[in-house]
Amino acid sequence: MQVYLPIAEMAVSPWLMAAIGLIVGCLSGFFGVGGGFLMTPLLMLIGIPAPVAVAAGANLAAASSMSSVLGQFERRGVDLRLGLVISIGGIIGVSVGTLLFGWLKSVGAAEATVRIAYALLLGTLGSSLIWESFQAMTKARRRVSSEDGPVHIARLTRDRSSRLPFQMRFPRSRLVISIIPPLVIGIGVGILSAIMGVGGGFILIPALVYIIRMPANLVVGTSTFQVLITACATTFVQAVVNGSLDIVLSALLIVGGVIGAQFGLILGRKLKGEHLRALLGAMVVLVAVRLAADLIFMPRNLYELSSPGGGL
Amino acid sequence: MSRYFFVWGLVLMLLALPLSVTPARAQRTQVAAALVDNAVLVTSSFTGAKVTIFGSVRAGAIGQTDIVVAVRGPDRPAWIGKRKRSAGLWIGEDRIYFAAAPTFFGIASARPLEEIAPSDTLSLYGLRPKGQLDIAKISINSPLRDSLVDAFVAQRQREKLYLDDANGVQLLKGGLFRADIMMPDRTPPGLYTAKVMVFRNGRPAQSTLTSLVVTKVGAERALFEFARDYAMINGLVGVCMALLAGIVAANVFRRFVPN
Repeated sequence: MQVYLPIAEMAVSPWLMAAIGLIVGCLSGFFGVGGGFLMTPLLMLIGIPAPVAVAAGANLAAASSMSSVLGQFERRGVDLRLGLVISIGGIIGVSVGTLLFGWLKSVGAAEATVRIAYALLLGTLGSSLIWESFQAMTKARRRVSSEDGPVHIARLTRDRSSRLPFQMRFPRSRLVISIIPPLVIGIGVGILSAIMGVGGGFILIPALVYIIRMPANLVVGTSTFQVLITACATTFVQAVVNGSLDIVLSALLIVGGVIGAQFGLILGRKLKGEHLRALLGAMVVLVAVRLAADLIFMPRNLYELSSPGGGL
Repeated sequence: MSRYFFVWGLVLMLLALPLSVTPARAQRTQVAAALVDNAVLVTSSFTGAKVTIFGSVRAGAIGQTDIVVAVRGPDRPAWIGKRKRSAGLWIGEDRIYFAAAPTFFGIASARPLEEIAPSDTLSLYGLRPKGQLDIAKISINSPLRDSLVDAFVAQRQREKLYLDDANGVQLLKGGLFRADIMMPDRTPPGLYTAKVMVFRNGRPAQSTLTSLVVTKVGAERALFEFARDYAMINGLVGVCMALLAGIVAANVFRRFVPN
């Protein structure tokens, strides 16, 4: 059976679409990421035009993060206030990044620099995530009585971020910090996702753990909440600016996605914080390797064409 | 389909009758053709369509008569880019733009086109996709122009948007013929023209033109027009759909899966 997509102007198998949604949704619920890094290339492989793929990926991320964030709320795993501050930064970042993107395109060498820097950043980030979580695991094995996740009792007083202005209380995270670090992190994540098209969650989760020093049980939930806000905004912007939101495609992906997100959530609950971070690190390293491979090896599709209808 | 075939065959044979009784005109090549369906409807289950043309041809008995049928979609702007390598890294691409390129270009004949007529004749009469691409002004002087044009045609041939079917025309008895051209699911909507050309000994002798329309209908049309005319509401519908689906899934799972 095949279903014709009105905006993409092609027929796809609904079962395949739901299956892709299920897998990406599962990742999304598990790690608290959007999954655009997987979604967009997968859809383009099937032959869906890039703008349609991006819009559908964002729409799916909105649905699966909504599905999992409700479960996170119930378990008090979301710092709403911090999530909102990061989201505001993220929206500023996306707008800046979109402008930057146009400028980077005009300067050929700049694009290369950004791509290489991003691959290196993800590579080091991923490997340090793995390294840190392995250390935590061995430590936990030695001292069985120690608590889950990195415990920093001194973080309230000695952090550099506590000396910056605009202090704000984040009661859920038990933090009193300046709003500048979360805002800057949000802006950075937004810029990167506008330029690279992927990678909100990858950067956000380590930043929450190591820069904000948020308690481990809040990280995935807060990241999911941020993804929800960003994904909703992206869906809307894509629909208005490019007219590339294919509701039929979105619906097919979402059916699988929301179910997958719940599975991911259940799986994620069974894991300890450091195990989750180790897995996330492995995934970030994989993405970095893929980015690097894209740069070094001859692409399988040497040619890129406009869509048959010419509209996108 | 066979009922259609019979009816059209009958009609065309009747049409052909007066031609055969006037001996003075018998030497001139005559052709008549008609489409079985004048419209291809794109519904939610559209996976492509077969366009069928029936016709009748009258030509002298001496020499070779060939029928070539060309179905051509509306022209649209297009581009092709080739990834480029600099300093050992694959970054950026070289692009050329087409001001207009046929979205669909299907040729059917009873034997390979190269055997029917020399290639310059084929290009001259618009039976080769390469000659139908209108390169945009900014790309005319691109050094990669020729290789990118070839790659563009090759890619569209892979997608079955440009095709040559050397078995697409069946010659039936009494100068009747039938041509079938397959359109893939990616065929864009618009006005299509179908040209039937008769070649006599490698020279074009006669042709006739007819048209068909490919159009989205029903839900497909409504959704397409909604997304185009009410982009903002379409975006909001997408967001609301996502949020609602998320809420429903979370509630269903909460009921069945213990926390």
